[in-house]
Amino acid sequence: MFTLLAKILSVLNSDAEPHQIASAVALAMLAGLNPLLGGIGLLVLVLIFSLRVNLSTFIALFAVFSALSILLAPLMASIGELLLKNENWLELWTNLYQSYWFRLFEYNNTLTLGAAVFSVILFIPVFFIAKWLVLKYRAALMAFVNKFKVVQSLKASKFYQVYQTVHGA
Amino acid sequence: MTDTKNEQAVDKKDQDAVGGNEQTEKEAAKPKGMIRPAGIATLAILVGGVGAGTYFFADSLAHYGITTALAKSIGAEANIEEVKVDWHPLGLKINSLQQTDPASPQTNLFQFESASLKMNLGELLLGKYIISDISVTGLKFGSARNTPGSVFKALEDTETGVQKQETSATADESSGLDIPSVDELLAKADLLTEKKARALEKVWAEEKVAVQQAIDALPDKSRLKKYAQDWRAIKNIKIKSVDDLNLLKQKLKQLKSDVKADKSSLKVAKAQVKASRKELDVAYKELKAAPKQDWQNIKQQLPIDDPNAIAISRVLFGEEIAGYLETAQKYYLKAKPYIDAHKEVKDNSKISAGVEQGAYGENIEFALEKPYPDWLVENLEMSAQVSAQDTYKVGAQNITAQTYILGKPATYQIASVGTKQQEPAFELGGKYSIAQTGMFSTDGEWQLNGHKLSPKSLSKSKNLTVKLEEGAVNGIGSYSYTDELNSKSKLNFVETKFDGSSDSEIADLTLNTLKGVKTFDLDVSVTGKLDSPDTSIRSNLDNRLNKAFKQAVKQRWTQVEDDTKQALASKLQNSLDLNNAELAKLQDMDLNIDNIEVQLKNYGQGKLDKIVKDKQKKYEEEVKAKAKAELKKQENKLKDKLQDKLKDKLKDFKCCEE
Repeated sequence: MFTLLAKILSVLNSDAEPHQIASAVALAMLAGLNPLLGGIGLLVLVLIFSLRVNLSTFIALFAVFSALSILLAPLMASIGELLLKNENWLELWTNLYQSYWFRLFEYNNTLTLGAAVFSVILFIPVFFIAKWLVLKYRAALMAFVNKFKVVQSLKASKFYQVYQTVHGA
Repeated sequence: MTDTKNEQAVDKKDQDAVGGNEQTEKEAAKPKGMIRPAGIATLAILVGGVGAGTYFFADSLAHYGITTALAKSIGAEANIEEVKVDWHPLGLKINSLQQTDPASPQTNLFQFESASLKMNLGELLLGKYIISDISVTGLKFGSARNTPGSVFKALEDTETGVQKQETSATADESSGLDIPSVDELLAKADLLTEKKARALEKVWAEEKVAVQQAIDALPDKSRLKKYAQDWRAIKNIKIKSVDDLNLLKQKLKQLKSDVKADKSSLKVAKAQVKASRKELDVAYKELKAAPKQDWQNIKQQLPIDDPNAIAISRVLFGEEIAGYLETAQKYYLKAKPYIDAHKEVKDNSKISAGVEQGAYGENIEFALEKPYPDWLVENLEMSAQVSAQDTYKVGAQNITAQTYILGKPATYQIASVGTKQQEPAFELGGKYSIAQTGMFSTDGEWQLNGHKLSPKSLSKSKNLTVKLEEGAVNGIGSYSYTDELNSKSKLNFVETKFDGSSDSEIADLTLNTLKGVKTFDLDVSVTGKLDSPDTSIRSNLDNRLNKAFKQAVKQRWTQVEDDTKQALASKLQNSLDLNNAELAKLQDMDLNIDNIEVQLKNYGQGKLDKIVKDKQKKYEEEVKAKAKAELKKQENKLKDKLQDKLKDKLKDFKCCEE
């Protein structure tokens, strides 16, 4: 937990672009709340590989959102149930159910669909909130946090150097 | 706007903090885009690598997967020469597959030259095996292997039923085709005569004890002698006084009391004898009627009056049909473990589905335009070689264990492939359904068209061996199975030629008649449970043969009938002789009781009362006579006295007269 916090702080204090960190947070939220081998999970993996997002932030927050998904499961399941059992949308779901991808990614499951809808709706707000928080942090707290020994030692570590090399590529 | 300024300031500060070298300055001058080319390349390499690996190693993986799955599910080594995977549409081609029979490692359970199938990829990803087309060529069952295959697990020995049938078939063989002797008839029959004789003996044994007990309670000879003595003593008593009369009355009272008790015992004994006699009469009558009933029973079981009862068709074709049934049972028993395993899997999936529903999230099922079962073969074409001469073409549509999902039954067709024949010698068409409850039902029809028969040994009974040298058969049949089998077949044999050997009167007759038969019909019906069906075989051969039998063996049957009746009568007489001696004892007992009764009658109430009356009367008369005599005597005496007195008085009057 301590290492996780330190990593996040390290990233916040690094030269990473705020939108890279914010997109990592939003994607981590998507991947954490949805099944990793589901439709959204796989899409996030492709995006992580393809887009320049902060991997450290993504990995750290993916764990956080995965834990959070357990707490949010009843809420997300009830959202899914509300949608799937809605008589007005029965035709829509029936049509979607005919397609293999819908059944393959189990979107007829109340929890899976609820998590997908919940996380997709939150994606944009989370992105902008994360970006705003990064900027706020860097303006107000970064100089103070950089003085922490743990941050300095992390930045001096070989892993960080390697990460910097790869990240900069 | 403020955010942008802050961002720039932070960037600048970051660069300063890291130490800001020239490279950093260059990078800052050239801002990085959103796309990460290296990441895309890595992803492409990963996906491409996995894809290429799958593409290039798919054949080996499929080969390994199929051999492992077959070996694991059947429990014996499976050998495949080659497996090829087609990608569009997704399919598989298997060349030369041999599956070892776990019960016999030297032979193959099945083997085929080639098989190809096409699968639905989308359904496969959903865990369903939907095969749109499958074709198998050169399918053979039970062929020998070049080298014995390894067996990993032995299937359960399910051949007990078959063995049982074999045993019964052997038992049938021991019964020959001949007119049975009297001794055989009596030995086989459960004779009522013997039963009734034993019943009479039992009744007599019980009644004898009861009668004897009643007789034992009767007065014996010494007691009767004492009664006689008492009787004589009473008769000899002389009544001289009232005391004598009272003594007589007392003795008579004692005798009456004793006789009364014995008379009561006598009454009981007489009732017992009467009841025993009644019981014995019933048993006796039953015994006398038993031989007649025995003969009726023997007649019913033997073809004496009804020649049709000699079902020669069963003797000739029973074994052949039993063989077919045995084969069908063998395949059914082989398939049964897999059917049961499928049911177990179904049950387990129900349990796991129940567990899943307990967690968050629920699978909502919507109506599918085309629902698929767990596995399905939409179209099957197969050629199977059953023997060196017989090759069959098998077709099937919508084969699955869940026909209820498709809403229509699976259909199947089998037709023989003749080398030179114009039309198939054998055709079968049927359908089957499996309900959601697991209930299996099937029905179908078949027909045979001029199927040439190869020489075949038909009967191996004790006295008769029949061989069908040549012939052809036409036929139609239908079958249905829902819990129980119901099959009816009508066969017409033509251009038949029989040969064989015989060793008894009827067997000779049978063989000679068969040799003259050129055509005959055979009706076979099989009903009941699959593992123990009831078979009925009827043929016009039976009538033909029986007509001949009736003529030829009528005299023999008459002789057998007479002999059997005589033997039964003899058995009856023996039993009656045996029991007559015992019954004579009952007669003796009865006479004994009658004798005692006669004797006791002498001491009857009336006789005893009469003695007292007579003696009392006699005594009274004597007393009366005595009193009269005394009175007379006194009268005479008084008379004399008075006369004397008068004479004395009259003596004075005499002198005057003078």
